[in-house]
Amino acid sequence: MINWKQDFRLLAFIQLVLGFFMLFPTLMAVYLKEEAALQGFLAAYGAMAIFCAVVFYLTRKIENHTLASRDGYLFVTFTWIIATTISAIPLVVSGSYVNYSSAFFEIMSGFTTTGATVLPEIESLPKSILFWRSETNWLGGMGIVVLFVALLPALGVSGTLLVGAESVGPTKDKLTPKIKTTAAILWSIYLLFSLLETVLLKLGGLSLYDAITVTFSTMAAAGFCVKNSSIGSFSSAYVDIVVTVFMMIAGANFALYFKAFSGRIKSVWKDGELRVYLGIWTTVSLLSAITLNYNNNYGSFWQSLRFSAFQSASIITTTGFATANYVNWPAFSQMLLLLLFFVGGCAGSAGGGVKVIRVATLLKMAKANISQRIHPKGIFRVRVGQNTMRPELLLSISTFFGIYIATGILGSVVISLSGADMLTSFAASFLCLGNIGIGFGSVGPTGNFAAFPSSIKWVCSFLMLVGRLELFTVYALFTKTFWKR
Amino acid sequence: MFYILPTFRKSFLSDMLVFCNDTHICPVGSFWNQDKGRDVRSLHTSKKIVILGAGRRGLGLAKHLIEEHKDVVIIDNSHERVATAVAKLDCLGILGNGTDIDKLIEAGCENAEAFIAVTNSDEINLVSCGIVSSTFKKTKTVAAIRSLVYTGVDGLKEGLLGIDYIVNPNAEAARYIFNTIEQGVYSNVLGFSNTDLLLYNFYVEPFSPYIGTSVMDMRNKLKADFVIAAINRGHKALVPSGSTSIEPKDTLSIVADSEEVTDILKTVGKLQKKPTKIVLVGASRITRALLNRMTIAMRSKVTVVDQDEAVCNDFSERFPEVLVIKADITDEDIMQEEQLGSYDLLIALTDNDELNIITASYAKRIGISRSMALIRQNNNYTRLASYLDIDVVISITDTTVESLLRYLRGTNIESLHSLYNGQLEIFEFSINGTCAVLGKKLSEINMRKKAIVAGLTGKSGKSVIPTGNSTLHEGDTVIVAAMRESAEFIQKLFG
Repeated sequence: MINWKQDFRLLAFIQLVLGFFMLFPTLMAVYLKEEAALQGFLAAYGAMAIFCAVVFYLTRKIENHTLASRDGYLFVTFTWIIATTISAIPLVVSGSYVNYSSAFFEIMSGFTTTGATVLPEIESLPKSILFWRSETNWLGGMGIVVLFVALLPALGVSGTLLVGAESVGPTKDKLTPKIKTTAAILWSIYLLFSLLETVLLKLGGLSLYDAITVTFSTMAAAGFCVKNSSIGSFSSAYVDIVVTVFMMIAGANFALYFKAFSGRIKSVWKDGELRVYLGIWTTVSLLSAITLNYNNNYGSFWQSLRFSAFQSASIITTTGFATANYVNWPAFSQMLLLLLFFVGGCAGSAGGGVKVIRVATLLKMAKANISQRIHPKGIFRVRVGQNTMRPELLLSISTFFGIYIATGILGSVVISLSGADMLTSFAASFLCLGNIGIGFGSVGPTGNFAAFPSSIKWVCSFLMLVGRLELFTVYALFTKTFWKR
Repeated sequence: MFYILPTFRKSFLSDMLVFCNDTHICPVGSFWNQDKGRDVRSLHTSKKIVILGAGRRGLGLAKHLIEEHKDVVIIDNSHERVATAVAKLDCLGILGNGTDIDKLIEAGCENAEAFIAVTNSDEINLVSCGIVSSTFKKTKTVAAIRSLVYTGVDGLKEGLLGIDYIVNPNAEAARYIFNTIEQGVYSNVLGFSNTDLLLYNFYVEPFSPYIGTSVMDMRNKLKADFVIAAINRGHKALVPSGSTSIEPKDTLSIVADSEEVTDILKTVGKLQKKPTKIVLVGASRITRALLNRMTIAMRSKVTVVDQDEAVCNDFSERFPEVLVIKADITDEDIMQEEQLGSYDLLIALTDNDELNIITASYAKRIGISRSMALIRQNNNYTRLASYLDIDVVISITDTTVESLLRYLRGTNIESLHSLYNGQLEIFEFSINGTCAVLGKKLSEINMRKKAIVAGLTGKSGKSVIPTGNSTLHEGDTVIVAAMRESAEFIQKLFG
């Protein structure tokens, strides 16, 4: 059965971790004398304190059980919901957001690294609120639960379970024998790259505040920006290149960096998923650049490449930054970007979407299936790079893809109830599900979700959560089996 | 540690081998010789060799060693096998356990030149060799170990339990098969380590225009530079003289350089191209070792047929470019469905000798150009195979024995091949300063008509087809073909 008490006790601990990270924007609000924002943060701390007090009181007599896999699903899903619920408070209380639905949408968009916003005008908001908004990106990128496992005393086997339910990709790599060390390594790598990017952006002439907030969103493959016109507002080729590179870094499997740092460079280079990932990005960037150049959108090929590479990286890693209003690009270039909607980052990365490994596996499955028809008695195993995919994994991958597409299409149907046009409904649904953040139509690179009614914002929030936790973790909670046996 | 055949990596040809319908196979290759600085040549002075295991390999090895005038002691724990060994061979048999130190002392391991463990059990071979190498430091130890499939002997550079040489029967068979494929299955090219001359074996077809002509006439007619080093007629090998005439169904062993050979083959025998589309029946360890030797490009034209699903899955994972079919090869449908008839070569490698023979023979009926069969147990099938139109029969016992013999013989001979069931040996000598024949013309050397100098490569690396007037200089490399019984005499002469 479900260990309710234990799960909620852990949830309360997570709030403490979150509370620690909320200290930064709070202190910022104090320093910048942003009173409304400060009130908001204090309200959030209040809510957090009440939640923790109630939970600790109710769970004061607790027996230690090892968590079962259903505890993992329950705990992770609730972590994300409760963290978002509390973190959204400052946004409403400070008066920056019109209602709680918008604030919840915004923070869910932050934690799930979607980067979609309900605000048409960003720059007028208090800096501390914007900072917090970007920080939720960064926390969600590597995973709140992963961070929790890395920071708190050893959870043992349970830790593996929790990280497994949160991290992305069809297979979960453990880098070291202990899950706590693995989680700590992942976060250290994440932190290291973040520091590096901040320094590089600072060197590019950005203010420290801009550099940090852009880094938060880049490394998480998230896409919030403190500027109205995203990265485009810096209009600097240097910044574009740095951000492009770090988006690509964020979209690759972090386990590979660990391998590279521990001297196994060769095995990194042989990684099938990485090759496909870089291959897709290069191909799309080049094809798009050629089209843009032919259409003479940017004057020169190199300018075209700068914009196409940035935009391709932004979509494939599901970041959702924009340097160009690609809605005005030739249809072919736009279709290429649409294609990337269904690829996403690598397994074990900060990116969302279907994941390169799944797409590659599906293509290999198609190939194996065709071969099987030609040689009915042949044995065809599906291999991606150096790894053979086990049959149960293939089943799980094809199921994932099926449910993913079904969820996205159902989502668009529901969103269309708001009166949005077909393209907008479709794009909104898939950009939320894939945690991308920008799409086409009125949710394109210059658009936002402001026009949608509250109910649709909740639907979108749900899609983002489902997409970030890769369907099964959340959907498991909706099955009879989960609650009965 | 060093390579006995230092040029192996340099010249792939040195790893080539020879085969004809009824000839005996002898792969020659290189191996790690963990010699610990002992003089390998001293084998010729100390004569005792202890063999553990009187199975097919043990007896085969003993037979060869006895022919080379060695004293052989065989240990086995089966009374029957010991009795058979003593009855069939001129050797001493000891009944007992190979891991029993008393028995090892009784067998005289202390004074023996080598202790060779070839029982069917890896564990016994390992343990007994371990005991011998730690107790009798001077005795060389050799073990047959199958479980090294994954890494191969070369994978263990530090050695294992102080064992001097490890032979892996599966890997030896795989190497032999691979080399045979590389040589086009019949065309049978044999390479040497220090010269670019090649030895080709080919079959004289019944209607060849050269039937009845003498070796001398044939040479004049063809206007090509070559030496016929040996002829295999029926089941007897001979070293030809100029007047020996060519008969139908002879197998000729010709030494020439590669350009000349193309012309000769066109007019005299059949010219074969290398098979590329290959079907392997049976997914055994040998199959795996063989596939490991192939490049990815080669593997992509290979089909493996096996009836065990788990094994098929394993192969499919390990070799994604290979087409793996899960089917029973005796099922007629599979031949049609997969159009096996269109393949160049079928190699039957299952655990069942009879099935291998039948499959390889049947393969020829359905149109596969060439076929090979593996024999694990019954070496008698080798003879049978030529009547069944099977091109090559690989005996796992023979390939192992050959590998062991090469190790034990290790002298200054650069490479050594044996032809025609071991009746004839091809040596490659480097002439050193103390050599008895140094500075002599070939016509002055009395080889008792039992041997022929078939090739000569100067220090500079330029190869010539020798005549009676060729002179031997220091640093030259010569290729000599000699009958087995005079092998020792020839080795003394040139060694």
